[in-house]
Amino acid sequence: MWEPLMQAMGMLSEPMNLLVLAVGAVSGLILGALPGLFLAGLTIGMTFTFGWDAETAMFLMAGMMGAATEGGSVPAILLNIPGEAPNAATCFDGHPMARRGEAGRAVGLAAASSFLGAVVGMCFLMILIPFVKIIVLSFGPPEFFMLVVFGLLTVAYAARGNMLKGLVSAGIGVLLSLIGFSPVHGVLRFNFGSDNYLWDGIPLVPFFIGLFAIAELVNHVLRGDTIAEGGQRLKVGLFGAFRGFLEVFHYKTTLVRSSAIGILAGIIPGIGGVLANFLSYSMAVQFSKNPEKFGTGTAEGIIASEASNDAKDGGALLPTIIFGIPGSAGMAVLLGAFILHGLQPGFFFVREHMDIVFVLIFGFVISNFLASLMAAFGADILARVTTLRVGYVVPAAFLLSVGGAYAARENVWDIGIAIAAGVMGFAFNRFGFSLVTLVIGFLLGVRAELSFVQSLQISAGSYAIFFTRPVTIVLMLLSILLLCLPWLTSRKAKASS
Amino acid sequence: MKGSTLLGVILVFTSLLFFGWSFSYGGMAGFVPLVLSFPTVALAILCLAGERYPRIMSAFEVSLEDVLTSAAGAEGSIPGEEVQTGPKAGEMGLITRMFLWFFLFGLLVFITGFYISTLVFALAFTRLQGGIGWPGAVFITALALGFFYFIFEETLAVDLFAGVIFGAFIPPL
Repeated sequence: MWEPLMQAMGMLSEPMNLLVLAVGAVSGLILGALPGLFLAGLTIGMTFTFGWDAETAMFLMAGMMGAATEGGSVPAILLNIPGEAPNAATCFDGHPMARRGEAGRAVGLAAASSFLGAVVGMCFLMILIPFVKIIVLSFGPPEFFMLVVFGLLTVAYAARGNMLKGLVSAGIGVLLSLIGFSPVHGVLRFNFGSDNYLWDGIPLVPFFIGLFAIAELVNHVLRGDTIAEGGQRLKVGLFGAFRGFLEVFHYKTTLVRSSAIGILAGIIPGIGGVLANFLSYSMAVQFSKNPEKFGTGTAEGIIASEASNDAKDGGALLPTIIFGIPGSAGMAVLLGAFILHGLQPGFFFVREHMDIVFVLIFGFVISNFLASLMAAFGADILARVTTLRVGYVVPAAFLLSVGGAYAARENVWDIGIAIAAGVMGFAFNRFGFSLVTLVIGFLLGVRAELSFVQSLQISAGSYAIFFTRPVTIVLMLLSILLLCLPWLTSRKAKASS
Repeated sequence: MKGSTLLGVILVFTSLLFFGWSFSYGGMAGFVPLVLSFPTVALAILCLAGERYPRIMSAFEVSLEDVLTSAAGAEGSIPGEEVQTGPKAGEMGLITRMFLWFFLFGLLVFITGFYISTLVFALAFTRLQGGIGWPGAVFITALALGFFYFIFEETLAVDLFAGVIFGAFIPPL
C-alpha cells in the first residue's frame, strides 16, 4: 500500500505530470461549463494520450474529469444553465443567490463544496480499496460473468429513458465487441469481409469519438446559435467568493451527508451524478431547519448539490477499477483509456497497478482544488465561454475529433469509423437508446465471453457452475429481480390506481 | 417511415445478422454469439413492435433514476436540458446536411490529405454553414491548420495522411 502511494507521489512531483494535470484541469473546467461538450472533450483528450506513459495519461484523464462538475456549476449559478447534468440542482439555489447580488458567494460555496466533496469521496475510495481487494479475490470467471450480466442490467435499468431500449443498446454493444479475431477460439468472426482492418475488432478510439463527440456536435448545431443561451449574466465579486469559500464550514453536516449520498450513488452502476444531485438536495431540504428557504438562494442547497456530484467520482471509480464495470459514460471513457494503455481493470489492476489508482486519486483531488480556485477567480470568463457561437465551436471541435480518431493508429479508415459511429450515436441519442449501455456492452462483451468460456472449462462443460456458487446465485437472483421490475412496477401502479 | 421505426428496423436486421452468422462458426465460437444475439433479436423486435403498439414501450418506461429523482422531489426536467424527441419539422434537412459535411470531409481527406481538406472544410463550413464572416473563418482555419501541424505532426509525431493523389499508403481493409 505504502510503496505505490510513494510512487504516485513521486510521479506527481514530476513537472511534466503536474503540467499535464493542470492542462487537464483547465480544459475540464472549460468543457464542464459548456453544456453537452464535456464527454466529447474527454474522448478527444483520451486520444492525445496515445503513446504517453500510462501514469501521465491518467493525470490528464483525472484532471479533466475532476474539474468538469466544478466548471458546470458556474453557468448553473450565473446563467441558470447547468454545464453538466449533475449540476442541475445547483441552479435551484445558486442562481437565485446570484440574482440577489451574491454571485461571488454562490460561486465560492460551490467551489469549496466541490473540492471538499471530492476529498471525502477519494478518502472513502482509499479506505475501501484494501477491503474490496478481499472481495475481488473471491471472484472467479463465473462470478465475473454474472457480474457483467448484472452490471449491464443495472445500467439499462438505471439510465434515463426506456429500459427496453437500454437493453437493446447493451445487446448491440456486446455484439459489436465480438467483431474481430477471437483469441479464445482462434477464429476471425463477423469481419464483414475485412481480413485486416477489423482483425482487432472495431477500433475503440474512433468509435468513442464518433459516439460522444461527432454526434454531440450535430446536436449543438440543432440547438442554436450559441453553446448555451442564458439570461442575464451576473458579475462575480472576489471578496464574495472568498466569503462563500469559508462559509461551507458552517454546514459540516450537510457537506458530509451530501458527500456520502454522492459516494453511494457513484458506486451503483448507471446511477451517476444526476441522481446523487437531486437525492442529496432533497435530503438537505428534509433535514434543514429552514426548508422553506430552499429554492430562494440558500447556502445549504448549493452545498448539497455540489458536494454530492464531486464525491460521486470516488464511489464511481471503485467498480470501474475493481471490476472493470463503468457506471457512467465518463467512467466508460476512462475504462477505454485503461485499455488503450494496456491496463486491465480487476484484481490484477489493484495488485499490480496500485500506483495508477493513487495517481487517479491524487489527480482528482488536485484537479478539484485547481478547478475550485480557477472557478472562483475566473467565473466571469467561464460564463462568457458558454456564449461562444456554434459556427466557431463545431468546425474546430470536429477537426480535432477527426485528427484524434486518426492519430491513435494512423489509419485513414478510422476516420470513416468515427463518422459512421457519429451517425449511430446521433440516432441512438435522438431516439432514446442509451449510449452508456451501448459502450459498456462494447467494453465488457469480450471479457464476458472470456469469463463464460473459462467457467465452462473449469466445470468441464457443466452449466451448473453458474447455479451452484453463492456469489453467482445472488447475482443471478438480483438480475432476475431487475428484469422483473417493469412488471412489478406496473402491477404496483395498477393496484394503487 | 418514421426515424425511430427505421432505427428499429436497422437494429433488428443487425442483431439478426449476428444471429444468423453465428451458425457459421463451430463450437463455442458460434455458441456464445448465438446466445447473446438471440435475446437482442427478441428485444429489438419488441422495441420495433413498440413503435406500432405504444403500450409495449410504456410497460418498460421504468428508470431507477426517474423513480428516485421524482421521489427526491425533483419535478420536471433539468433546467437548460432539452428533452430528446424525434426530429422536428425542418430538422431532418439540417441533420442530413451536417452528416454530409462530415462525410465529404472524410472523402476529401482520403483524396487530398489532411491539410488541403482542413483548409477547404474549415473555410467552407464556417462561411456557409456557420454563418461566420471571412475574418472568423480565416481564424478558425488557421487555428485548425496550426493545431494539426504543431500538435499532431510536431508534438505527437503523428504522420498525417497525405492523400491518395499524393501517393499516400492506403492501409489494407
